[in-house]
Amino acid sequence: MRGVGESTRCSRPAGFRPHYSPSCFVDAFTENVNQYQDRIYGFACSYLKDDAAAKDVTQDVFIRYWNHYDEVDDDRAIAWLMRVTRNACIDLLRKRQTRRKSVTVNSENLHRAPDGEADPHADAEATDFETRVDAALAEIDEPYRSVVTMREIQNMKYKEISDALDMPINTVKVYIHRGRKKLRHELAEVLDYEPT
Amino acid sequence: MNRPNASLPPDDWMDERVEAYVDDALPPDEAMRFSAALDASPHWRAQVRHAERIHQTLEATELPACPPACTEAILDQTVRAASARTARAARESPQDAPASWLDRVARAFEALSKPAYSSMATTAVGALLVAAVAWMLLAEPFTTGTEHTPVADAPIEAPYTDADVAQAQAEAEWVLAYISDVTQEAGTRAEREMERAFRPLRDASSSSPDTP
Repeated sequence: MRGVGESTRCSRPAGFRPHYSPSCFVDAFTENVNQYQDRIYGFACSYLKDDAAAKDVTQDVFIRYWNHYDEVDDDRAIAWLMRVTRNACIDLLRKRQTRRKSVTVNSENLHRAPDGEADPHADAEATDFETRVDAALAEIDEPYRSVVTMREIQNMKYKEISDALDMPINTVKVYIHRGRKKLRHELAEVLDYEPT
Repeated sequence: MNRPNASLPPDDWMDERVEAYVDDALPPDEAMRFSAALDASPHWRAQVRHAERIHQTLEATELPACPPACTEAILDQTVRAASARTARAARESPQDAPASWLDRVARAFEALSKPAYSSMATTAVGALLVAAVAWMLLAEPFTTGTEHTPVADAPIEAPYTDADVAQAQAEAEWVLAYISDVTQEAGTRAEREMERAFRPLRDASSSSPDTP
């Protein structure tokens, strides 16, 4: 896999319009898609816990990237993509929460008690530590969740995370440790009782 | 939280540094203090183990690969769609066809919006505005139909003097006289030539016996 900024994209002429682009731009964009799609899809999967929604987000992000291709430098492509992906995921989750709330209100109106208990299948899966970590990660607030995901799971560089989240590198480092500390606190009960 | 030794650092201080210790990112003095506290505290040793386990679990998380169908959908909606549009545009209009005026205007605006030209364009527009204002201020106001003075009634100031008129008249007379002289000379010459041409015929006819 090529490193960031090593693509062979030809220089963009003034007034470049991706919709009428020469073949070299097409090749370079295709190369970037192949290079970054797993990271984008992986982040979306990790964030949304929903393969179908992750696919939709991945497609939307790359279409947006194509439409802004002349504005995004190769060096900052992954940071741009991750920022757009994160925003898309957060927007989607907010919409889902809004929908869920409205459904809950409707259920109350119908005198049906909302079932907040976890189903047995989920309880069985929760015994696995990885699943617990994954669930705990979904519970911690932003930007700790994104920072931990990008650094620990996606193995992104501090600089890339800094660019993606628009925050200084030292802040990124502090947030990574704080995010993992939050995870440790969330998992305290599991860790205390499981053999290490 | 059990703290067997009162000389240990505060819990908050320790808790804040567990992950940095695991990452070996503590400054040397803090790392030394933290290690000393670990030696004396099973609780914080357990916390460090937990932090290491979480860190390892996160790092070992495998990213799912983007499904091929997703990749195909992306390429269909971006590069392939653009290639198809480009090919269609090339078929519909030859490459040497001149661009439409709208495209040319758009290109001109794009060029002028570049930093290198924007200052020149601003200066030119400013100069045009100044010229327009100056023209409006200095030029005579437009006359309306009711204010129009008829040409016949308007006082006319002659652009020539009497001497000019006399000279022109003399030149005209001289030209007419020249034409008259030339014409008279040409007529005389034509008359002489005709006389010369018809003389033999006249002589022959006058000497003929058959002539009455």
